[in-house]
Amino acid sequence: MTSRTSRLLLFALAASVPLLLVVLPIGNFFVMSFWRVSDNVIVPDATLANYAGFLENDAYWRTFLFTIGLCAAVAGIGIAIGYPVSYFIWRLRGRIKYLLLLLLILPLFMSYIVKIYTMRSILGLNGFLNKFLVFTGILDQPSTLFLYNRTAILITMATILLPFVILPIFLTLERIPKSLTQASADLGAGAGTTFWRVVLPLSLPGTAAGALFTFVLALGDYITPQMVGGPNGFTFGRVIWSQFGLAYNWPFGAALAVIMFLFALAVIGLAAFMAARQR
Amino acid sequence: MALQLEALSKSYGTVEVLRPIDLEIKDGEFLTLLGPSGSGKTTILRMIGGFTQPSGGRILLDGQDLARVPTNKRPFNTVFQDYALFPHMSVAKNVGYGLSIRRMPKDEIARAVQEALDTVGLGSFHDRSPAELSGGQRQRVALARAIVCRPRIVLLDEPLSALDAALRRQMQGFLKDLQRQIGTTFLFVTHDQQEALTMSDRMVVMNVGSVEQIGSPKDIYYRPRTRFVASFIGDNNLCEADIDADGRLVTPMGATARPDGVEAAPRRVLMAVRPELISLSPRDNALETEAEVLSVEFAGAGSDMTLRLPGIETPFTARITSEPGQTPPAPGARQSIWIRRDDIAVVEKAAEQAP
Ligand SMILES: Nc1ncnc2c1ncn2[C@@H]1O[C@H](COP(=O)(O)OP(=O)(O)OP(=O)(O)O)[C@@H](O)[C@H]1O
Ligand SMILES: [Mg+2]
Repeated sequence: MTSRTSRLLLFALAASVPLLLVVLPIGNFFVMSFWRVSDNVIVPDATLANYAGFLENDAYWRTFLFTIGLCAAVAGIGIAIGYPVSYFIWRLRGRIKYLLLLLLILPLFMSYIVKIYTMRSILGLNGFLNKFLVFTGILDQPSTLFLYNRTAILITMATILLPFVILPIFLTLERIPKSLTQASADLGAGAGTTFWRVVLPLSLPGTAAGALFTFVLALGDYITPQMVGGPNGFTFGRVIWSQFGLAYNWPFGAALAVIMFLFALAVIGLAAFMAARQR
Repeated sequence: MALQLEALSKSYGTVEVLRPIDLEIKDGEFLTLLGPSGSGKTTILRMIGGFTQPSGGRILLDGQDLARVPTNKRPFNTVFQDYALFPHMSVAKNVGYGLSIRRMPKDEIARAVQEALDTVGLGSFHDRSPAELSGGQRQRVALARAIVCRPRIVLLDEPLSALDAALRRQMQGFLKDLQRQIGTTFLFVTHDQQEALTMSDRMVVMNVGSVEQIGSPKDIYYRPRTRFVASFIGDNNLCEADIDADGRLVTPMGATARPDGVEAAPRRVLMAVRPELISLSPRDNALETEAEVLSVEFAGAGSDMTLRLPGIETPFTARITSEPGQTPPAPGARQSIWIRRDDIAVVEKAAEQAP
């Protein structure tokens, strides 16, 4: 075997993994989105009826827009909490810094389901949050406001996805040479000015990446809304999921999935475009 | 009065990286800290800049203690070794950064920035980003940024070490001229002795956390006071000698009159002679001896002749001018040499053993 063929073989092997696991399923969905269901049987076809169905029914539209808004809010909350946390860790010195970072991203290695159940027990009527609020006198009695509604989805997703914000922000902060903040102080800037004029602008790429991760991951998450969202926490992911279950309309579900996939792709593409233009 | 360091010292844990040093930096001078890697040069600079807290001693500016003055309130500006230009700002924004923090009006900033950029020869580079500059240009932007705020002292930590040899020479001249022109005090760190000798008004030679000698480049070069300085700066021939009760220097080649500034007490000392100060022709007021030629190496501008001197164990090197038609003495030949008495530097052995 020549080195050329062996190299080709190696490449094919390496390429086959993403091909099999990513491109094929998506392609499969894409093809299926043009099929139809008749008498509870999936029939191959070349119809645009599924896409028309999405466009014509404003219930789907509204859920779609609501989901985008919700995920944007999740990303926003993630940044609002994640940035200060990352900044705080970044400013620490010595071993505690990386220990704390590890602690904060440790949940990444835990089961998703466990995390959701944990959040449920925190947000529930007898949960930690209510107990705390009643104990401190902020509430007179436990509130049902924190579970089985949209707020619950927001809080749960933002909490679970927090490591995805903290990590990229921390990494861009780490990449800022110490000499830059020192130069800023050297030229007369106080800590606040240095933050606004040097640290923040230089950490924007990581912040954008964190927001993007969170947004796209939240978009694809249908389990969290299902488990903490209750009846009015209906997200687009849940709609898609139901097409593969109760509704048993796989082609329609596939079309909705393709729409969401293209939307996520557009957002990522836009971010990449803006990042490229900034440079 | 200017800047004074009083018993300034620094330790990390139990490791003392800078022994207490005293130093006065005069207004308008070009002072260089020279020493091998790890000798504590950067540590001194960072303590003056306020980036590192001293472990002991004081830093006084015009008699005022700077201990409680944070970096951003000290009238010093630094040229960092990696230049530390803000990558997200244009050249003009970088240079104007310090002024904008002082809330200077925009048009005045623009004028000052233009002037500073003109001074460093980058008058038309405003809108470039630092990434679009060569190393030498970045260095000059960093310099413009440091001088535009008219600091009392400019601190420079090996600003030329990243440049290639030719550019380095050019920047050395440029820096020195600039300093003379604006009259600002420059405190310059380098481990390149040639750089220190050509640029400095005064230099501080350091070794493992302590000051070996402070003086003008000529002083340091011709009158080294410690063995370290004698061997670290340039080439030197070192051998043992004695001072007698009258303060005369007794060498294996003969005795000389009492050298300047040498105490009259019998003791062993080291004598140091620069290779280029050994002459092959008779000189006035010189020690003469006949040496054995061990080897001769042609080195372009001159030749290095290795000589065995009677009574001296380690061979001496003499740097002699070579001329095209001349045939140098062959190895094994006898050669008379002359060393002027004034060209012999006396290095006290006690100083060498300083704690
Ligand atoms: N943060 C630190 N913690 C512990 N030791 C340090 C620290 N910073 C510097 N040192 C030590 O202090 C000594 C002096 O360091 P310094 O940076 O002042 O040397 P330098 O003369 O500037 O050397 P170079 O020419 O290599 O830059 C070194 O031995 C170094 O290891
Ligand atoms: Mg250094």
